[in-house]
Amino acid sequence: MDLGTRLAELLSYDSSSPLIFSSGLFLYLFVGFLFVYHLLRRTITARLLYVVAFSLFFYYKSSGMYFLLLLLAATYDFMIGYSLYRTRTPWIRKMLVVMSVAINLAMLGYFKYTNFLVELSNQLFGEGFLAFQNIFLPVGISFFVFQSMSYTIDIYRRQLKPLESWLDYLFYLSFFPGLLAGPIVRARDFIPQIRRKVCITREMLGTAIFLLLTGLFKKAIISDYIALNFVDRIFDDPTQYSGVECLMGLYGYALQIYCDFSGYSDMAIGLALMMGFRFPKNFDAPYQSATITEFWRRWHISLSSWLRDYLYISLGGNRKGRTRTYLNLLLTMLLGGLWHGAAIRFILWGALHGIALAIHKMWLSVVPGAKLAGREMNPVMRLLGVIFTFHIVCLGWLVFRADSMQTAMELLHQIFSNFQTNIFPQLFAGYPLAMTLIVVGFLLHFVPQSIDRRVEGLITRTPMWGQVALLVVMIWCVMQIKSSDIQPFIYFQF
Amino acid sequence: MKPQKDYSLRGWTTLFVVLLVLGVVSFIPPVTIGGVSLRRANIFSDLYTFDEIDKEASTEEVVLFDEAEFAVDLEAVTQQIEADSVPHEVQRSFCWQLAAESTPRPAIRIDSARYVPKLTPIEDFSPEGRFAAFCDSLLRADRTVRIAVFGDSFIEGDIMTADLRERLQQAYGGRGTGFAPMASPLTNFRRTVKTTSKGWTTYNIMQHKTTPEPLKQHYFVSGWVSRPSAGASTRWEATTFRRGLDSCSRARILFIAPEESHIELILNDSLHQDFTVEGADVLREVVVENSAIHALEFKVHEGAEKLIGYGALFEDKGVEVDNYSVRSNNGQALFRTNPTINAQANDLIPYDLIILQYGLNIMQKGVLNYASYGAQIEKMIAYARQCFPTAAVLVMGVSDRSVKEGDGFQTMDAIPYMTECQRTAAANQQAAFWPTFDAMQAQGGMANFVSKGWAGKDYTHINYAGGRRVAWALFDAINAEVIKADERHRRRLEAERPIIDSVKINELQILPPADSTHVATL
Repeated sequence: MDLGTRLAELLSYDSSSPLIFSSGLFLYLFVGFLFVYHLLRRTITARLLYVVAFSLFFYYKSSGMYFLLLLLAATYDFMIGYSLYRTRTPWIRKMLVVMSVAINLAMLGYFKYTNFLVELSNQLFGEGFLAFQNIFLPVGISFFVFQSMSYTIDIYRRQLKPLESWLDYLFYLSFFPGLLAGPIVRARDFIPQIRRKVCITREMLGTAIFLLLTGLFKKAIISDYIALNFVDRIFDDPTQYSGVECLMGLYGYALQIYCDFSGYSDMAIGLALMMGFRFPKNFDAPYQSATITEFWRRWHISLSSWLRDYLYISLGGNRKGRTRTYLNLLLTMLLGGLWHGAAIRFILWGALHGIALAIHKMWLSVVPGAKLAGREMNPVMRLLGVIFTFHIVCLGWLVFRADSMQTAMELLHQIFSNFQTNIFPQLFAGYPLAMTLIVVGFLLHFVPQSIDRRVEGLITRTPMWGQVALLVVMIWCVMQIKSSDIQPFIYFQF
Repeated sequence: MKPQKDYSLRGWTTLFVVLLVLGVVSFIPPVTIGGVSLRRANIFSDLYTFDEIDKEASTEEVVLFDEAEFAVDLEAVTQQIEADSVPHEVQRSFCWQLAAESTPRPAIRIDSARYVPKLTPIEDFSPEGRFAAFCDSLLRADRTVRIAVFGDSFIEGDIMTADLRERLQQAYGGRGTGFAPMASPLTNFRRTVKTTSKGWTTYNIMQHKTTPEPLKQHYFVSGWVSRPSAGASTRWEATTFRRGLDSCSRARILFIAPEESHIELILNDSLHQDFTVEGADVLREVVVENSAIHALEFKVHEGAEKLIGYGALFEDKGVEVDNYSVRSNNGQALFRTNPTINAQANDLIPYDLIILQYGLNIMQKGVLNYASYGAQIEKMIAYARQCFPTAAVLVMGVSDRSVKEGDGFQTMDAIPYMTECQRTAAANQQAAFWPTFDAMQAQGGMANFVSKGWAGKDYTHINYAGGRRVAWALFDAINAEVIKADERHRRRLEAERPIIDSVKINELQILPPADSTHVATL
């Protein structure tokens, strides 16, 4: 196959190979993109059009013609936002915002939850009650729908002035670094940056390179390797493994999902910085949390703050009495769970977190001296709190990851009834790289943030050749890990 | 305020230089440094790939196992079996009959419908030999037709055998899950029987070196031995994981009681029966017959110190498939079993077919010569025949396995060589052979198995769903042989018919006497 044909094939829609940031194809496309972006930095409209075109192509690559959905969402919410700002009649304003929310949720519901509802109906009313539909799930729809809703709701709440240009709004909604997997950037945080002069400071570039390095390490080295070579196998059939393997599998999954998600967010934030845009922080060492409330202030911050501002507060928040507060927390987390995917297990995961948050809130109001976060506790209490919270979160991950309740129960059964402590040393000998990455991953997670900042500063001050060397070594490691032999199945004699 | 310097061009330059350096790095061929293999890091692999010369692949014979460790003297095995086969004075079979002898096996109707579109046929190197006899038994024998599958982790937990059993039992009759060990750390994994064991210490044959005496000398082909403490018990309960498992009419519990022992059986959690077993170092069985056996519990009250428990078999008239799998076994552990106990097992549960599913635990990427392992497979076939003289032997070729190549997965280079080695061994021993790899390839290969959720992410081990696909292909292959056997049987009947056909005899009588050829040829 000649190079042209291969390139055309690579750039065509393929739902199985989206343009993920850790791929070689993305790297050379981004280098080419950035060169032209730099040339256009002083011609605002051309730059906006250029970025929008690249973003739409980026979306087309993974979702084909569904990139038109982005155009559609950008159009109706831009128009609703425009009308909202100019209308003073309260009921019309309310109707407009309800319309925006309804259209967005209907779109999300249709693409993401139709078959889930069919499945539920069939379980309730018998097989064949409703027929499953062949519906394609456009990638990242949950993210851009939430972003778009934040725009109209903020205008309704008079916290934001609408954009004057449809192109600007399309730019915001389709901006490719956060398009597929977040962070969910609020309109009010992003809009002021759109027409600002592109200026990347040395600190911004240093932070971008630091985030690209950490993102690649977390996503393409730790997460991808331990998922394929250890964690997935445990969750495929826990009964084949001893309790100690199952426990390490569960801890491994906690690390995997964090590294996968936060690593990708790091890369997205780094790429945006290289284009002169600042995204809010999305993860803040969540497993350092000493309470569940603190966890949700450190985990997927852009989503948890979105849920707080647009769902929890809309439901009444803590303004309508204690019982209602607990109920609102539960409902918010149930829906937050459902946002992650169309399956009962995500709702259960949300319920578990909702109940935990409600209990913690109750604890805070009942127990004198109870603390909201670890930094307010003494070191011993903080350590105990971190361990306790981590295990509650792991219990949640078990429900989140296991394909059925049976698998989840089997994994717990192995941990509590067939632990086999004697296998622990064999586990490190049998899975040396996977275990090393899990240990290193957790150790790095607990590194104090002051050290993080120092390393970031060091990278910022490193001359260009040093930064190049760091990136080359990291990408080379990623490629070695990607092409490394699969870890064979280890037979522990238990 | 002094305007800040814009580093946007520097950002681009940094990434551009990174790309250039990586472009140069992609020309560095794979190397091994200090025993660590480093792959080619080709950043442009989407656009251009290098033709790698696989230096690792070798047709030279490499040492894959310790030949001395797995040496077996087949003549000595024969002599041992003969020497130990003197009739024992002691009672070997204890019966607890709660139902009359089961009804005759219903007539079999052959269904030629296939479960997998493409047939991967069995290669029988002894046409009309033992495998054909096994097919005849499937069709006509009014008894339990037994199949033992010796294997490794590929079939651990009754994977593949669960579905082979289901298909065969649906086609040729039979119920029950076959062999279930007395105790094993993997009982939770097996879905075709629920086993709850208390008070047993279990060893498997891969722990041969650490197995205490005399248990070490008492492994039989199941590969598991269990030693009870006083009051130890095992309860087996039928499941509905596959059709035909929910109950059966006969159960056998296999054990050795060198000292007088007192054991108790509890059937379906309601009926109790005690047995006092006279001490003897010989394989014993307790047979339970009932119209519906759902659950059976075995308790050791006395004589536990030296008792050796093996497990139970759940069966009926028709087909019984026993899964004898031990993880990490390459088949040679068979030589560490006790041939006398195997032969004693054959007296109690004579096998019609033995399937050898091995190879994964010896095959290595880049190793293309398996001559010495092939010689060992021949010995495995011979050994199995010595212990189970009435059984046909079917060698399953090694299964599909993928390895990482660049970003993707490819079939391991050694597979065709291992398959050929197994085929040759089967041919040399006039056994039957079935290429598992071809059957999996016909269904998309390991990559498809993984993407469909039929196999694990190690691209080596299948799960129950994958086992079903392999089992269906094997069932189709066996069924095709049964159809051939049935045709042969019909031809034989056709050929024999004129002799007993009075009309034809009458016709012969009116033939002219000079035409003797017709008579001679009849």
